[in-house]
Amino acid sequence: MTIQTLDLNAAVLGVFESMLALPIAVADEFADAEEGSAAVTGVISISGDWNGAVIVTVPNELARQVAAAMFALDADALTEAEIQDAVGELSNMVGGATKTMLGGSSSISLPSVTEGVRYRISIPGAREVANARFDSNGSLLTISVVQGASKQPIASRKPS
Amino acid sequence: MKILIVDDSKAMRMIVMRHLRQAGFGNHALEEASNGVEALASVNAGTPDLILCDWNMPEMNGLEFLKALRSKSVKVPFGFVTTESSPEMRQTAVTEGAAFLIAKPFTVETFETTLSPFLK
Repeated sequence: MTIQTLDLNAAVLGVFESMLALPIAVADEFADAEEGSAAVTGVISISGDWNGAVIVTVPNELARQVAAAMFALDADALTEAEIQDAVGELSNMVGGATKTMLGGSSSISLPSVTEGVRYRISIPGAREVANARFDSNGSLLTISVVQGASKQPIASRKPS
Repeated sequence: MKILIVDDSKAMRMIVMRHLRQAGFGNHALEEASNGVEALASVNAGTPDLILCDWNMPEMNGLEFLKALRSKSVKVPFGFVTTESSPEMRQTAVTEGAAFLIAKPFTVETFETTLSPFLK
């Protein structure tokens, strides 16, 4: 079970182009988010034959544009809950596509969403097996797919 | 005709409603529910002509909702609109009585082609 970067790219480009009508392009592999910039992160856990998670990090400005496209509202009129809902749904679609790429028998969790400045999402024992970066209107969207070290579902692990 | 849209994401319900309008189905009455429990209550209040339902939802997921409908012999046409698009999930959907499964992300053309047989 492996994840091809090209398939991951196709999934994200499909979401942006067919459903959001927002410009998107694969970013340079060395592109990095602006230090200290605020962002919204959605996490989807996958459990079953393959255990891991898909982490989608969206800079605040782009998260607002994604939500505006989904709700068909002016970006300034959006609530925080609507922005979190939009990033959660974006993560859900990328997570679902990743699960389909993996094959086998697995299920995906509901999205969990967090936001802030200078934070890191860390899943103990998991290692990154694929990542992708995209540029949309000058904002860097990043996807990280991490796989758990054991067969125990990530979502059920107790914090150490 | 009345279409019930079931998804825990308000953003996705908005996208589905927009795609329905763009596919030429904007003249139908649209109702919303955010999970299977709310959707069952909506059906009990008045059976819709078509249900478009997410798979993964809190409280009662789409598959549980579909099984609850069929156990009550409610035979309204039911389709999943979901990220769950593996062959295994599609087979499960059909076995339990779903008429179709639209995978996210979807297009207006997919809505038009898939829903036309159910909406006059």
